[in-house]
Amino acid sequence: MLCQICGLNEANRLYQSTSASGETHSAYLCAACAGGAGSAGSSSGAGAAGNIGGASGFDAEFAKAPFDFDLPAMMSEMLGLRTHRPGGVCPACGLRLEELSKYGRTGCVACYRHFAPALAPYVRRIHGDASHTGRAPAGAAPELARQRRLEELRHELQECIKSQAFERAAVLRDEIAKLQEGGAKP
Amino acid sequence: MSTEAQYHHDIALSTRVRLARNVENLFFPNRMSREMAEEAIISLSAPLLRAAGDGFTLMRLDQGNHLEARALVERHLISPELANSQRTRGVVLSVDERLSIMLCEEDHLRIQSFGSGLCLENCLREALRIDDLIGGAVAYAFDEHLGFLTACPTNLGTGLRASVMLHLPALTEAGLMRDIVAAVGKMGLAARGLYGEGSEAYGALYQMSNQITLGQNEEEIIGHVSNVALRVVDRERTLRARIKKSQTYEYEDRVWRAMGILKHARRLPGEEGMRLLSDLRWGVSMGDLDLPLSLLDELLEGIQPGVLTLGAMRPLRAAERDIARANYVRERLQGLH
Repeated sequence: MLCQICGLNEANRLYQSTSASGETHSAYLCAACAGGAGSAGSSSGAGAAGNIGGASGFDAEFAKAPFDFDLPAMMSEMLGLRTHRPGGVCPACGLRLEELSKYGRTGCVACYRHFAPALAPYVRRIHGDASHTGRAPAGAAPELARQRRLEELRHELQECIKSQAFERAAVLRDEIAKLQEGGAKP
Repeated sequence: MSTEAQYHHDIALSTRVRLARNVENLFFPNRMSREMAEEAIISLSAPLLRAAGDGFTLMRLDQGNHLEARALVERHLISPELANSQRTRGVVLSVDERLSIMLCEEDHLRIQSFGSGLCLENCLREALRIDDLIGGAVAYAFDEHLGFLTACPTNLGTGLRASVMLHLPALTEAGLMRDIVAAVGKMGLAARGLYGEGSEAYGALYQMSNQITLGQNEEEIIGHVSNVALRVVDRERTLRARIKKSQTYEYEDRVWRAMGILKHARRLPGEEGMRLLSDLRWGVSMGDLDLPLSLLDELLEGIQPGVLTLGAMRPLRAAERDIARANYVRERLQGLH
């Protein structure tokens, strides 16, 4: 079966963890997601694994797994992905998560935003934790900043509407309009 | 230093730099309708066709010209994926065939620059010139952290694939290629046979290229590929010298036998042709035969089935191709040496 976090790779085993309240959670994960999730505490994980010296078979395999990751948090991230994005379909090009998983190809720029949680471990497995350091298209930087600011403002506007902070919402609406107008100019 | 020595032409046949690019507001080719792809091909080729100097021509590959497409694949000017795709697609070629810009392959643009010998810097410079030319006319899909956005995440970041084609007959003869492939793999490069499927490498020709495209800048990537390629070139060169010294008669017989057969054969199957031309190139690169290396590189491409058939201007059966191949090689070697 496919990994329950990224939906891209074949899950290689069932991972389990126990929360502070004593509740046990389990999920089928691929190595990349399990490794990525454990990366924050991977050194302690390795140390703990080392303490189980002499374990064999399944136990030894399990000991190798980073078992100090927060599975409930990962599960909620996974559920969040499904709640907010019904069907896991890119809103722009219509690519489904299953297609991305099967062919390993995105369909448009928006796929990278929409499927970001699913793509992150995959990208990390190929390229490591690296960020782009090469060239950028001419004039990309100001436009990038404008797009990002617009996204922030739109998000804040939604929050204000929800909490009925209409005065602040009006200010934000004007600011968004101004920024959009600025982008439309040559 | 001669140009051939400077570019290590005795061992490095050619270099290719490829940049993958997409346009921000268009779906990637795998999600495009035929109409969208038609429009993209026209708008993306326009800045190139307008540019003076390179003599660019646009070739559509979805109009039944399978043989032309196959010949371009055999000459490494386009990818098999572009040739075999069912989608609307095309390629813009410069008149000297040093630039090939594939349109609507896996990404909207695959800018490719080629050169003889090991010349990554020159190829990168040329590819970036074309990148600027097109990038000045369209907005590229780009993310601050992920770099240039590509259909496949393996190309994210610089979208740069730097490849060097190496002729490694001595390492192949000594049975060391498996180790070499593994060693360059550990250094982040992929190595594979240039012709032939899987691990088969006809003519002892190998391609080595970077695997990681994100996290290093363009100069760092080509610097690394160059360094690794040069280490392989050094090993091949050392081994060639050792074989020539310790197995002089075997080596000389092999080179001259190849020359004899290629100059006189009336039928030349493809695999045998690759092997003999490889032996001949080995002899030429050691200075034992007075032929230009560029002729050998031309022949290695010219004997491929699609290129031969295209030259004959009619369909050829396998047996007819063997005759055409022998004729072609004989004619090119006539009067030489």
